[in-house]
Amino acid sequence: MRRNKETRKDFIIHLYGDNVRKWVANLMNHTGAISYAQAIRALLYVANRLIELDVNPLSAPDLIKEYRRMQSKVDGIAKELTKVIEVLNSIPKNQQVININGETVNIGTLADKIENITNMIKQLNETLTVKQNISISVYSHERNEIKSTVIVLANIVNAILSNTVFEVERGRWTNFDNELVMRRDAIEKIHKNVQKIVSRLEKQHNTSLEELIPKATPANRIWLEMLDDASDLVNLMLEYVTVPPQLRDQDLRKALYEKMKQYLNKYRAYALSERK
Amino acid sequence: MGRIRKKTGGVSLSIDDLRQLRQIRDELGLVSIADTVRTLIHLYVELHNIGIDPLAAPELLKNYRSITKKIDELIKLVKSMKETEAVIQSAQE
Repeated sequence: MRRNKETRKDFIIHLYGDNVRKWVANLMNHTGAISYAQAIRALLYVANRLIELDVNPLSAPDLIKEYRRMQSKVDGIAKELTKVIEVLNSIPKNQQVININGETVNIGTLADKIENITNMIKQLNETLTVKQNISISVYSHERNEIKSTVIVLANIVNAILSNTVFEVERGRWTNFDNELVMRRDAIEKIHKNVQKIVSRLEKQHNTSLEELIPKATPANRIWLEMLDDASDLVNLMLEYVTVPPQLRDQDLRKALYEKMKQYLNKYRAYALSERK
Repeated sequence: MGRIRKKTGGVSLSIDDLRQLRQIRDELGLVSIADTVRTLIHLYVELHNIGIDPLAAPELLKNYRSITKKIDELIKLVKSMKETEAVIQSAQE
């Protein structure tokens, strides 16, 4: 931490107890904080934001539980409405236009309207579920890492394919193998960088990257998809360059070649962007 | 012999952090800064235990709040529909 007037370190608190230390360390891991002070600041941020929203920070967990119950209530409403639609649709066609207190009611139209509302509720429920998952965040340093990984990988793939496509299309794979093997160090490095981010996310959310993608907000989803694509390809490339040449399977070779082509089609712009 | 307390390391905070901690302490009616920090850590643990990212909790509550009104309207709507359904069924009988 830099020492200046605003951030002078002239206040020290001591935390006692293994659990406290464990949780602060957990919080550091979770937020990407590099010191206890930063982790405590994250807590201050949360508490201040809750107070701003007129929510007592201590009641936040209960409020969230209450909202979850509300979500299941919404589920219940959707089910009830579905039943109502079934009942209304079961009324014979010739009885669908009825007169209630001097007013003509068309049951078919009513059923359509209810169906629209049911769909609205289902959408609302989906929104609620997505909102619960807004917490999947990709830190700015990780975004930079992902972007540079995608650029490097796209350039490697571009170079390999440009040098070998003519031969590979004629069934000659020697150069393809050589081009990959001579880039083994770079592939290993990319694999290490990608794995670092993937394991941080998977460890934090206790689920696989593939399952995390649909749960993330659109802004984060883009980064997670880029990470997933890079991870898939680089895992296959690493597997390929690390097996002894005599054990290289022709199916794996073809699968890798196809995957590289797909990757380059998707991220060609990145390969070109670095050349400029 | 005095009780041996296990020290787990000090946390250096800035004056601004201290100011914020005091505000939160007063807001929550706590008695000391250490208590405030402990309470916040406890809050983190609780949110974590119910499967919520503590950092996303404020945003989550804000979103939920905006949706609550819509849900209330829907509940009213369903009630009136059920009434209509009952009227229709009785009219048929």
